[in-house]
Amino acid sequence: MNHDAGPTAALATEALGVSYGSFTAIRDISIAVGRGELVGIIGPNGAGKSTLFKALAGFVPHAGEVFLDGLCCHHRQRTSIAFIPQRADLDLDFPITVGELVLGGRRRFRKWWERPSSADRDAASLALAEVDLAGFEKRGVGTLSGGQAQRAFLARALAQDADVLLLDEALSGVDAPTTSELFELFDRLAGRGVTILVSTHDLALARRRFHRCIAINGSVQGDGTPAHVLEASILDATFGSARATVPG
Amino acid sequence: MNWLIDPFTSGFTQRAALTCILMGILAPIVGTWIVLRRLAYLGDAMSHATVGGVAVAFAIGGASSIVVGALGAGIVMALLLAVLSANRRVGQDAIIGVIESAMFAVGVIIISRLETSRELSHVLFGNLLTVQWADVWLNSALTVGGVIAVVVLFNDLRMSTFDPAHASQVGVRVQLIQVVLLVLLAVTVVVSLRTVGTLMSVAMLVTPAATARLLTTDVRTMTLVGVAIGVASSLIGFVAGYHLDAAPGAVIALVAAFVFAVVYTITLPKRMKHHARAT
Repeated sequence: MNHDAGPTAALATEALGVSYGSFTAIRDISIAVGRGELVGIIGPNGAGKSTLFKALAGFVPHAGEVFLDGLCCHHRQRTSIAFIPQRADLDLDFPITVGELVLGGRRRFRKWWERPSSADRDAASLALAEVDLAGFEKRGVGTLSGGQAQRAFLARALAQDADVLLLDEALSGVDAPTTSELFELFDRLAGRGVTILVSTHDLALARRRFHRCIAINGSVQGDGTPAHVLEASILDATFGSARATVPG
Repeated sequence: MNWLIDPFTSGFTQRAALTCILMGILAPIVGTWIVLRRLAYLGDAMSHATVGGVAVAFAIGGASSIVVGALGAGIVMALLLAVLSANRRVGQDAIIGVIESAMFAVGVIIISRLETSRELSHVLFGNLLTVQWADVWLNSALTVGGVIAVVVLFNDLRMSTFDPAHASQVGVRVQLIQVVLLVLLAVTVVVSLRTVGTLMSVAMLVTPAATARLLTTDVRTMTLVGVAIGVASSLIGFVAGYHLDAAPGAVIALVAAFVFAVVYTITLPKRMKHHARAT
């Protein structure tokens, strides 16, 4: 298990586990991810990738502990983690503009009765510029392409001042040029110290673009560099014998 | 033009018209969120559950307690739903069905044992002729309160409707917002008591907002267009009901449904084009 991120890891877990009734979705997951790391979470369908993200974000009750910058966040709101759900999990026909979506990230900085301030609007504009969506404020989220929608949600995370981004299947249904653009953006954000975890089924992409991969299937099967994790024994343990070969 | 002015010449029709306008304002404002959250069934359930509260209040305190009973039933339903929905094994729709049918059943049993149920039938189906100034003032206060609540909570309502997980992470109290919305739903049913009645209150809650959804792409405009359609449907239905000597509440509901059908048909080609582009 890789704990090289050290005691002041941006994000760490200790014996993290989630059960739904008698079904154990993930168990005994202990990882540590450093600031500015770009990590691919790989595993088959039902391996617990989304559950892991939801537990990290505090959306589901879990066993074990989650640490942010070394601090246990058992009873604290995890406002510095941003979870970007799968497209299928959201109603993209909902009448909300890109500007309104991104301003939502600023909610953690104001009380429920307060309106977004001009500072909030400036932060939202800055976040949109950072993901190359300046001028998209008035566009409906439902009118965006897959890649643009992902960038809009990334902008919301940036407006939230999140240190850790969790992207669930962010690359599904996104074409190669858009994937490439998204990774340029991930690299830029990682360079600024933002920690990014992306769940993916694309093992070839995982080998090429991530700094580190974590293979899970209920529990951690492998953790380390892509070359280390994407080798046959770990893939067999993660995906079983039906796994596809990974292009180099 | 007398046919247009006649319905507004006497004191009781003026009070009735004012009540219609208030319902036309509040119902689409609350209904916008019911439509966006795909909770039309909840609106229907609330209108039925209210019958239980109304009947209990009537049996205990007479006709003057009806509004308190309706509001109380709405709040009881909101709280029960908030508590019981925590059980993930039974879906929220099933919980709504259980609460609604139990509260409605209480109402039916009490009404069947009352010696007179005339006042209650006004509540169930509406009767604009019985509107008093006290009703107008009460509905005005409830409408103003409802509008203020939605305006103040607008951003949190939008966030918790679109992406509740993110909303809760950045500090929105999603569960509390849900309870507030349910209470607003109960308030809307109360405001609709004298006009369309509890049983048809869902018509004004859902239909103008659903029509506005077909015409608009942001929540603010949707709300305003919904209010315009709600007020227009209420007044047109009121005038038509007056001249046709038909129950105004039912005519108002039919006018709103007719407007929906027209807008749905007119916007169909545009939606089909959008759908074809998306697939």
